[in-house]
Amino acid sequence: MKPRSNPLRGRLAVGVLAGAAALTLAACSSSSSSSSSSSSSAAGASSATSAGGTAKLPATIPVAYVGDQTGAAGYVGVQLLEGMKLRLDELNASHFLGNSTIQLTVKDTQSNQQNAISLMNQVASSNALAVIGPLLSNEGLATEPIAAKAGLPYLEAVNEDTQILTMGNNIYRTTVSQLLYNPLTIPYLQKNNVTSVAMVYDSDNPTLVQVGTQQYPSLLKKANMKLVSSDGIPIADTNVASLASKIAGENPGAVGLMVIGPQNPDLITALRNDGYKGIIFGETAMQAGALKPAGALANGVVYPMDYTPDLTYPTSQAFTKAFEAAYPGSTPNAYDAEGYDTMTFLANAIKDAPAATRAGLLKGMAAVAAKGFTGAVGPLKWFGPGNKNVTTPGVLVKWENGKETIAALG
Amino acid sequence: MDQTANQIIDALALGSVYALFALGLSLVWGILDVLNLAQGALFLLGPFTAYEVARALPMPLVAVLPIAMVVTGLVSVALEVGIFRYVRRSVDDRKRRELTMLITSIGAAAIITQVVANKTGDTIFYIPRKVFQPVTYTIGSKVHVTNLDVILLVLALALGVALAQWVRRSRHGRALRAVAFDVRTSGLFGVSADRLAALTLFVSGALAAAAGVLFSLSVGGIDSSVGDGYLLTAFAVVILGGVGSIAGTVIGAFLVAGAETAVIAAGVGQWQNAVVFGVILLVLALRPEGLFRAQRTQRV
Repeated sequence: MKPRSNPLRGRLAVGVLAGAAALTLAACSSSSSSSSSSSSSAAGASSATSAGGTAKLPATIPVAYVGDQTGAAGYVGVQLLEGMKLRLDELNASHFLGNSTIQLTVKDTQSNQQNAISLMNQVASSNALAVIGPLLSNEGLATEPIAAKAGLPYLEAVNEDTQILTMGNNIYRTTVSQLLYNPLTIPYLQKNNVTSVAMVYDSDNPTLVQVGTQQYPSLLKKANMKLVSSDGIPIADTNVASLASKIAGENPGAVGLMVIGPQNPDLITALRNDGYKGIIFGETAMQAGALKPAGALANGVVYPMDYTPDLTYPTSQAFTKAFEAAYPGSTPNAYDAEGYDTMTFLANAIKDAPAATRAGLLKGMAAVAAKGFTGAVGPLKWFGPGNKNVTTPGVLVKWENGKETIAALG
Repeated sequence: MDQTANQIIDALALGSVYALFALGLSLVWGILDVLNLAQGALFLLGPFTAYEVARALPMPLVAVLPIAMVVTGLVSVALEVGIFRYVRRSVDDRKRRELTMLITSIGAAAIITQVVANKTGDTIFYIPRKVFQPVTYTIGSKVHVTNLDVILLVLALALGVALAQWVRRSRHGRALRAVAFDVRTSGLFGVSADRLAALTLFVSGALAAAAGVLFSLSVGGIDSSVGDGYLLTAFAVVILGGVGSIAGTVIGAFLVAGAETAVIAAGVGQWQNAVVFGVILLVLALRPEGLFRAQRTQRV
């Protein structure tokens, strides 16, 4: 199996990506396409919730994905869509909703906030029963009020922003924030007798600033580990050699890299070339082969995730097999799994809805959130005000010889 | 002490990349009055070409690097022939001409960058290690230098000297300076401004490619946005050193790299741009022509 297109620039609560997207010289019009509801024989993953709904469903149930297919976050949106399409095909083929099929329309925001607003207005005034929102935080914050006003059920995927969950009663998160599984790193560091840590974070990414300057320092303090240094660098900074030399000189027991894009393999390469032999850990941006450019120097690097292909839950294994069958030669990554689970959440909510209306679907979503389900990433449980946020145990992944292995389960 | 030595080595390697990249920019800007904002895209195109070539054919760096330099140089020539030459001929007003070239170069950069982004899936790509395997040498117990650090420094200095000699002493170089002085008069003496402009753009593109290839080998991987950050720094280097001054550009490159490295070593990396550009602002306030004024006469 060849690894899938690599490297991810991380979770996208990102002012900076938004800025980059705004600068993109993209055409102002958005493209749109729709996926067919054709069926496939891919194996199902999570079992459907029991039918609690009483709705008489129409032959086709229109839903929309106003998501990034091109632009700064396009590479994430494309993978998310792969997972959604896989699940959609399974659901329709297995007649999960009886004689009804879900019809997904894809509208590309081009990672552009203005496009996202325009497209969300279109969807809000259409007959779509629900919408899966865009990935960038600036797009999400701008589009959720439009959906809320139209009573349109909104599924938030990938976007790390939590403020959006407070903006309306129509929204549920379907993917898990890295803040919830990042703590998996600490027991691993303790097990390896790490007593001092240096942190590097992208200083122009709100999520990574939060992770690098608040979450990890707090976790390290509780674990009695010393934070020897904390360096913020711009996302666009390619001059990582001098930073690596500085950190190697400090010789901490571990280095945490809360950075995205090429900075991950570049910093690892530079640290190892500078003779640093301690533990290197990171975050979700290291997934899906992002470390491959560092070659053998990246062996042993660990990072917490919500999904890895070797995840042992039966539903995860079933998803991995189904994905590999549907996309021969490809290995699924977390975005694929999250797209898959997003579609499962939506289908379960439609099934549990008392009426095939937007208001009915919102009740169905509340019912699914109350029960939770086990998906491609494992058990998903909704929590917080209105049960809108979601969590999963997660997994600590170790990169070895070009492949992800499981270092610890959450 | 060891850490200081490592930082100096890092600064020299980074300064070498800046120098290779900025030399072409300075040459085109100083001689042709073209503020070529596509230079960052050419910095990207070099390693992308090397990546594609190396994937297709197993070749070492000594073969891949020249191919990348030639391909990128030719793309740069295509910009001159297809865009800049047309603008030069069709827009008489000098300021409007420079602005038009600047805008068109932004368009060219966007196209090149987007092509690379599409071809690479807009993700990280890297030149296969079989092309060149960086090796780290340890001096004493804690000072580290890679073979690429050495290659970068030697190449930057050698090309800087060669370029300076070429511009100063060769027939082409004299013709270039004549064109920079007065394109119409030099034309009366049989100097082909078009041919020299194409040659200048070729050299500029090839230098950007060399910088991009060696840089991408020295780090883990790059993506399609890599040229943007370097372009801004290269402008700072050129302005600091003095537009058109080859020695100034090389020295400016090492000064900027040294300043950046010092800021990072001090543990305030997020202030890197603010400090470096603040210092440049100060220098330019005192010497608006840059540290090394190019030997050229202002045309009117």
